[in-house]
Amino acid sequence: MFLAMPAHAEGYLLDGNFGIGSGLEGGDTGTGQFGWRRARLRITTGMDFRSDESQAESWGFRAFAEIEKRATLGGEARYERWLSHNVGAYGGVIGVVTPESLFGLTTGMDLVIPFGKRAGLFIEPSFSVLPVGSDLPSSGPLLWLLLSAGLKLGL
Amino acid sequence: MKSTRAPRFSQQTLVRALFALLALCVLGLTQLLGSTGCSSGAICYRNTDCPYASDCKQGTCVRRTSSEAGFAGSSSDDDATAGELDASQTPDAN
Repeated sequence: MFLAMPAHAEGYLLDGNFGIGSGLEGGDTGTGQFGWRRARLRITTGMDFRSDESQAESWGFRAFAEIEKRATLGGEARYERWLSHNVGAYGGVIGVVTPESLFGLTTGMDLVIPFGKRAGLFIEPSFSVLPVGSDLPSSGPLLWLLLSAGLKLGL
Repeated sequence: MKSTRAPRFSQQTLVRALFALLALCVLGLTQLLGSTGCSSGAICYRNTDCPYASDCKQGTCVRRTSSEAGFAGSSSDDDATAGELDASQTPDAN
């Protein structure tokens, strides 16, 4: 037993990504009518952490900035489950922190078209419900139906 | 002898099917944007649709009152005009 080699520590695989997205934004303006419009254009960047012992699941963190109208800054933390190397689904929390706040839940899919061994193009449809925050003019939630795309790199 | 095993789909087929599904979703969203009640930029949905020191009230940008904005010692004239609909403050167009 004393001759046993020390076990290797669990390692982490790191993916970085950078993308751009938009889609539909729905909400109640306070008049009782629910409406949709084009969502603000946003840029996103973030990282995914995967344990090398269980590569089918990962934790992801994103920061995003809406770059239309009054610019906002927000973030997202998510748990991802990879069905294959190129297809995954996720769920998590999302929020805008400045200049007004907005918080909620998000879910979506990740599709990766690989370019070589360590790079790929990701396409990410997502759906978010944001019921809380000072950016809301009424008590109704804001909905985001977004499509993001960009570059994913194995770091 | 005839095999009774169900046909197996490769991962590539699955990925292709998902991309096709995604393309259909994009088409659906485009159709939704193009045809059904997608409002223009004249209506605000969020307070950040409005200029600084304005809030979104019932789809319209309204100048924030002095007390809400946190300015101490505002004059009664300021209060009288505060909260009025500011026609010049429409949400930025999309």
